[in-house]
Amino acid sequence: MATLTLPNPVTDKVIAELEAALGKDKVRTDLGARIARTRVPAPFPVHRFAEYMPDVVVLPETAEEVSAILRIANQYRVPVVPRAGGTGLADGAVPLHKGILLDIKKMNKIIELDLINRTVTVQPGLNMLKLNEFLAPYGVFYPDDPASYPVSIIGGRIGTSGWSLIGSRYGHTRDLVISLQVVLPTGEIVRLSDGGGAPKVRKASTGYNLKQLFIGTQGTLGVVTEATLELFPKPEAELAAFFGYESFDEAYRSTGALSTSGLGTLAAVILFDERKVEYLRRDDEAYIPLPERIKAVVATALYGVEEEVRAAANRLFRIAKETGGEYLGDELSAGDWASRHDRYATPLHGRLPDGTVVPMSWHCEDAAIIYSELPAIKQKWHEITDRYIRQYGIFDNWGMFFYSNNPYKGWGDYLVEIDIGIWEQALNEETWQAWVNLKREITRATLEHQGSISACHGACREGDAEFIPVEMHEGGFELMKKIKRLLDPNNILNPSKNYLHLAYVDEEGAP
Amino acid sequence: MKQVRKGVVLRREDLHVFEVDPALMSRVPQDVTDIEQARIVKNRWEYLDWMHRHFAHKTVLLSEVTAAPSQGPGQAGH
Repeated sequence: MATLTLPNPVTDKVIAELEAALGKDKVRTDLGARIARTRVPAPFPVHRFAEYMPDVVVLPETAEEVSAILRIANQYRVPVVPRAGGTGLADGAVPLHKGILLDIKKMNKIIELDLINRTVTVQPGLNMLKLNEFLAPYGVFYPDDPASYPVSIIGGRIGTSGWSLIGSRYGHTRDLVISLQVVLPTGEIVRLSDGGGAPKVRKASTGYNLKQLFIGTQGTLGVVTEATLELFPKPEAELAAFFGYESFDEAYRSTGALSTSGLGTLAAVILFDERKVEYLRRDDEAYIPLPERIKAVVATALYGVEEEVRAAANRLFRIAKETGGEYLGDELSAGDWASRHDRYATPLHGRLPDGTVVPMSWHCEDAAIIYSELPAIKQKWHEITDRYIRQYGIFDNWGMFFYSNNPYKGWGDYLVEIDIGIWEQALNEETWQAWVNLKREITRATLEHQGSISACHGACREGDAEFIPVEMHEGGFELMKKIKRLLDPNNILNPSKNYLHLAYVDEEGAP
Repeated sequence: MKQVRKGVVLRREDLHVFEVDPALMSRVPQDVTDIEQARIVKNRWEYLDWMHRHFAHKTVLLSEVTAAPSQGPGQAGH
C-alpha cells in the first residue's frame, strides 16, 4: 500500500519560534496578509479559496532569516511556499497545503554594481523595472522583459525559469543569471554558478553546473537569496515593425523566413493567428480599424546600436514584403510594442457567446512547440477550446500567439500560447473540473506533437502537472524525484508542486 | 455616437477612442466622463513614450529607414 508523507499544519509553537527568529513585525497571521497571498492571476477555483490560504506569512530580509525559517519548518515538518511578485501563471506560489508563505519582497536591495565586469548583484525581491531605473544613469541595462515586467520580480523569474519578450536577442532569465546564493530546504546557505563557485564567471568547466538546477524549480529545491546578473549596454535604438497577411499560412511561412534571417539585432518574432486578430479587431483599440483582409499578423522588434538597427530594418522589411507582409504602420507598430506588458496592468473583460461583456480573468496556456508543428497545434488547441466554450459558455477564446523561444536566435521552437478568458464569478466545481479537463486535452495535444508542456510558466498546475511524468518518461522524472528527496528529505518546500509528491510515496506502491 | 463595426462605437471623434457598444455592457455598465477619458488617453500616450525611452535611447520607425508607408491600412489618411 502506498503511503504519502505530507507536511504537518502550522501550530502556535511554530509561529512563536518564527517570531523569536525574525521579530514579530515580519510574521503575519492576520487575514488580510494571508488572503492577499493565496492566489495568483491565473484562473483559480474561487469557490474553494479557503483551501489554499496560508496559515502564516513571513517576510525575511536576509539569507540568514530564510535559513532560520527553513530550519524551523524542517523541525516541525510544516510546508513553506516561496512567493515573489505573485504574477505567475502556473500557481507556483499557491500554497497547496497551506503552511508558511515565505514572501521575499522585503529582500529588495541592490548589493553591488560592477561596471568593470558588467554585473549587478541583487537580492531576489527586486523588480526589473526598478533595477533598470537604477541602472539607466550608468548606461547599462538588465534585459529580462516578461509580459509582467512592471510588476514581477527577479526571484520569481528565477523560480519559473522565465521567458523574455526580447530573449531572441539577449537571452532569457536562465541565460542572464551568472550565479546564485540559495538556501537549501534544510537551511544550508550555498553559492552556485556555472561550474565552480566564482560568482562573476559566466563560463566554467569546474565541477557540476549546479546553477541551472536551481533555475525553474518553482521553489521546490531551495530559496534564492541573492543573484548576480548580466548587464548589457542600454540599446541605442529600438525598432518595432508589425506586418499583416491575408492568411495564417502566409504569415507562418513569413515567420519562418524572418526568424531564420540571421539578423543579430532581431529580438523577437511573434505570429498572431486569425483568432487573435479577430479578438483584437473586436476589443483592441489599435486593431479595430484593420481591414478584414488582414487575417494574421507578424510582429518583429530590433534592438542595438543604431547603425545596426537601421541596416537590419531594411533587410527585415524586404523579407516581410517578399513573403506577403503588408506593413501596418508606425503608430500601430511602435505603440503596440510599447503596450506589450498591458495584460498584467489592466483589468480584463471577455464576452459571453452572445457578445455580452463580463469580467473575466486571463488564462494563458503555454507550451514549447517546434516550428513544423505550429499549424497542427493551432488547429487542435482551437478545436478543444471551442468545444468547451460551446458546452459551458463561461470561457472566451482570445486567440493564439507564437513567439520565437530561443536565446540569441529566432528559429527552432516557439513559445505557443492560447489566451482564454474565464468568468470566474460563475465557476462552480463542475465548471472548474471542465476547465481542468480542457487544460488536460491541450497538454495531451502538446505531447502528441513532440512539444514540452510549458515554455515559461511552469507545469505545476492541475491539468499540467500530472503529465510531467509522461513527458519525462525516459528516466528524467525518476531523477527529479531522487534529487527532491535528497535535498528536501521532509518534503517541506512547496510540497506537491511539479507532481513531486510522488517522490515521497513508498517505492513499492509508487505508480 | 458612431457605429464603427459590429459591437464597436466611437463616442468622441476628437479623442478617437473606440468603445464597446453600450448595448453589450449591460452586466458591467461603465460611466466614464469626457474629462476622465481625455485624461486616460493623455496618460496612455505618456506611458507608451516612457516605455520606449525605458528600453532604448531612441525609437526608430520603419518608415524613416525604408520605403514602408508611415500609415498602415485602415488608419486615417491611408
